[in-house]
Amino acid sequence: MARRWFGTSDSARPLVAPVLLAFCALSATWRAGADEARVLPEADVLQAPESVTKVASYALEARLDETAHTIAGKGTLTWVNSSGVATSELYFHLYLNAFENAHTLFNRSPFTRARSGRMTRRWGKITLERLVARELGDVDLLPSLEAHSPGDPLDASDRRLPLPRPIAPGERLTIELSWTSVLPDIVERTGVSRDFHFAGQWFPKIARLEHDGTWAHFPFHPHAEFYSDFGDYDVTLDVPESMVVGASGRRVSEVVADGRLQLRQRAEGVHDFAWVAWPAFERREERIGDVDVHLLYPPGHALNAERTLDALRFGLPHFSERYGPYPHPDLTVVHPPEHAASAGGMEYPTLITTGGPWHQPYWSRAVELVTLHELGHQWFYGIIATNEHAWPFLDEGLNSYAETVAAEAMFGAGSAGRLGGLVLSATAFHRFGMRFGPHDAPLARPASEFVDFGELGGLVYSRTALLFRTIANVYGPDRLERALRRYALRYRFDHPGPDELLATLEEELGADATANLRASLFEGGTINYSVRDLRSVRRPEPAPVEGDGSSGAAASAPAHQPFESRVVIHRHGELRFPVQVVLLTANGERSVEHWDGVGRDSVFVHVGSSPVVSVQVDPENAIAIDENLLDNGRRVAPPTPVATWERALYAWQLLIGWLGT
Amino acid sequence: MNVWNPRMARAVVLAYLLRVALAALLAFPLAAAVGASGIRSLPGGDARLFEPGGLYLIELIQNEQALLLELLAPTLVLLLVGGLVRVVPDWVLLRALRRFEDEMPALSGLRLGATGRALARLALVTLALWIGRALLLLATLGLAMSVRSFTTGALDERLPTLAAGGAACLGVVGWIGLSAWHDLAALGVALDDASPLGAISGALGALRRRGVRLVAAYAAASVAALVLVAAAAALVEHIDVARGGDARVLGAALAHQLVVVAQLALRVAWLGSALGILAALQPRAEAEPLRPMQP
Repeated sequence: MARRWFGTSDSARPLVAPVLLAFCALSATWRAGADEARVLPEADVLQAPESVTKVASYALEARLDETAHTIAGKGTLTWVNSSGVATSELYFHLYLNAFENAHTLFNRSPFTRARSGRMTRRWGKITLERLVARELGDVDLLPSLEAHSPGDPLDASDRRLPLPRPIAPGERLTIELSWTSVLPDIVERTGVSRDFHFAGQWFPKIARLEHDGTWAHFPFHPHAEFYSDFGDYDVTLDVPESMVVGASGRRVSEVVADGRLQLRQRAEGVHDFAWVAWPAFERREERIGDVDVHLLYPPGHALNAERTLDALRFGLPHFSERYGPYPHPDLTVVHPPEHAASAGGMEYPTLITTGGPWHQPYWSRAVELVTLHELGHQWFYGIIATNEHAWPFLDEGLNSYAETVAAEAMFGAGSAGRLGGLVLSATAFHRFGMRFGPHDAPLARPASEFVDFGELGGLVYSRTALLFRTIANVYGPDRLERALRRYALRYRFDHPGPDELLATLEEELGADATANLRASLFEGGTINYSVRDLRSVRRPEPAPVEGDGSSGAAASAPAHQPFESRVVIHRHGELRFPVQVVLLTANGERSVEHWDGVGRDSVFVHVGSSPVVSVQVDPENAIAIDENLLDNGRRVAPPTPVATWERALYAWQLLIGWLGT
Repeated sequence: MNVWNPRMARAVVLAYLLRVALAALLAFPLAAAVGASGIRSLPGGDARLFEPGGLYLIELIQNEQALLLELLAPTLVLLLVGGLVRVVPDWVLLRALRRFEDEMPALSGLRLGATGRALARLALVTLALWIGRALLLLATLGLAMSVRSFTTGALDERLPTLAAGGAACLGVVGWIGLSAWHDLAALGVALDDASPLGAISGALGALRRRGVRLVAAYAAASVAALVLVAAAAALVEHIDVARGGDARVLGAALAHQLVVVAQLALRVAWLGSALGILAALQPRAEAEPLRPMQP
């Protein structure tokens, strides 16, 4: 902005000072009104990964034994107490222990086995061998590490480490680690399948200490994902020379010696690190904007690779424009082979996995949708690092909405698929998905509180996406986009919760919108508009106007409108959105009414020369979360469903013919 | 063999009308379920089911899921019954291939009895076709799964799918062969008054002698029919009934019914080709395979 004023012409200079003063005054007013709200950064001073506060940084070395499928790891964790409270304990997430046996929290229930629904046949685990903090006198802390997750003697994925003394706010610990990870077979994201190795949650990860001094620690639940602090990762991988490796961050060096390949990767301002090694990967490299994209895919998937790159060419600028620039120099995209498909559809900072068979039909958008979804997670999870365990809707729900917007921008009405005359949108797809959960259950709750992954998927992904779609439709898509952009920029490289999201949205959308969001997210609020009644009566002819004939009263009497129609619209549920109601009369007159949704019923009276014969609430389907679209209309004489008859007749004719020959 | 004459044209029309009546009966439950769903109360009515995006289509399927599932089993039974009843319009077509008119009065007891027996035989031949297809399907699936698992360790993921696809192609060839055999057997029943077993073995014999030509003729008619279906689908997409108006529905109906009529015509053409191929097998001294019915 300063550069523009310096560049003004002579004739405009007299205006510069007063305009500048006015701008400053307006800015001060806005900032004063913002109270505790954080100042939005200008685009050119957006926080970069290098300047992010590094709370948990790792310098690691990992050697893959491709025969035993183990990873021998060692290194250093540099951790800072970034809270305002001293702490006498640490918590480590040893998530591979979730696959240690059939009794862990992850495995013990047959009804809640995550996305794949399968139990691993090859167990996995992570065994810490060294845990020494230099600042604590190089004492071996390993004997102090509690043997199992708090309160769960059968699970060892969440481990408390009491410290010999408190660690003050701002104090740093340098912790030397060594461990061995045994990779399970892949049933959920991480593990081994034949010679394909995916290392996710493969190292001891320190949990996040919140500002108030509480630890956000949790065992590995089958429905839940992850949450940790930002830091820098400097990781050296040692793998067989034949392996093709993809990893978070940027490749710094690559050395081949004695049949081994040593790669060094560095990722700045991230909160996790994942990598993959498989000898059969094919690679494509492409620069999209300022980002080097590294795509790894199995042989025979060239078409999928091109479709994935198409989605990235669209998605990277699309998401960057809306939610802030993608901050990292690299993005690695991994399409696992079919036998390791359970590693697909996942996000890590600067690395995403997609998936799908090589024969993706041209009319299905599955490749593009999964790519856009996982790419969107680079913002809603990667940069805005919300607690995925406590509030899965903050990343999955928001991201599902963002993915829908991206898909519809890229493909239009056929954003989920298009085959002949059948055109399916992502919104219709989410309406289908929404029914997998009870319609009146809260969306904003921990992942572990959902009955099963079907319910979580239906509510957190689909219903949340539709809720935000409704907010956009009712209050304006541009307003919601501005609100989400504000949220994304304000909490870039931070850990916001639901309150921060809603407070930011309210600034742009207003109290009504956020009241609806709160009711749906926290109380399971629903809405269903329906037409409760439509009827018309013939009005009696008015008595002739009496007069002496000279006054012209008879001539000036209004024309008699013989029909009075009454329409009653009903609102069911706790949410309240303004809505349009369209009335159509027998002679083709169309009138549009509005209801703000206050109260349970709204009555519209229409007086005219012909009766109202049809009414529809919400004709544009703005309320995407309406429980039932089929009760949104009423007609006096519903016609025969001729279009259905015609299609059904034709379909049966073809089937009968096929049966006989 | 040119089988087109006014009698055949009347037969095609009658066969078409019988199929329409049968299909209308079968379509009734689904259309009634859609009608009861509330969609026709919306402005635009059930044309909204075909709107881009599929919002109302998905809504209807979800709202009426229980009803649609309940309808599934009886619909399948109706379909099978319909497939058997379908022999009636087929009989009309096949009889029109005879080179001469029947001498008996149309509604004489003898003629009706003979027709009844022929229809029963055709139904049995159709049942034999279904059993053959079911066995073929199982065999093809088994082969596809075997070759797929045999190649599943291949580095290139296309290989297992292509191998299974190869097995499926064999299945398609077998399907075409079975269908051609069925039609030849139906010809035997309709034109030679053969018993079901006699018609089946006669058809097998014909395939042994002229299998390639017969299968090729059948495949050509089938491919042409598929092309017509695809062309109609493209045309109907362009018509776009979702935009409303009876004219669009009428246009779609016209396109679809033309396809059905054309499929009947293609069937007649294939049967005519088959008769021509079979006639060429007959020695000149025995050039009359079609004998008139004896009173």
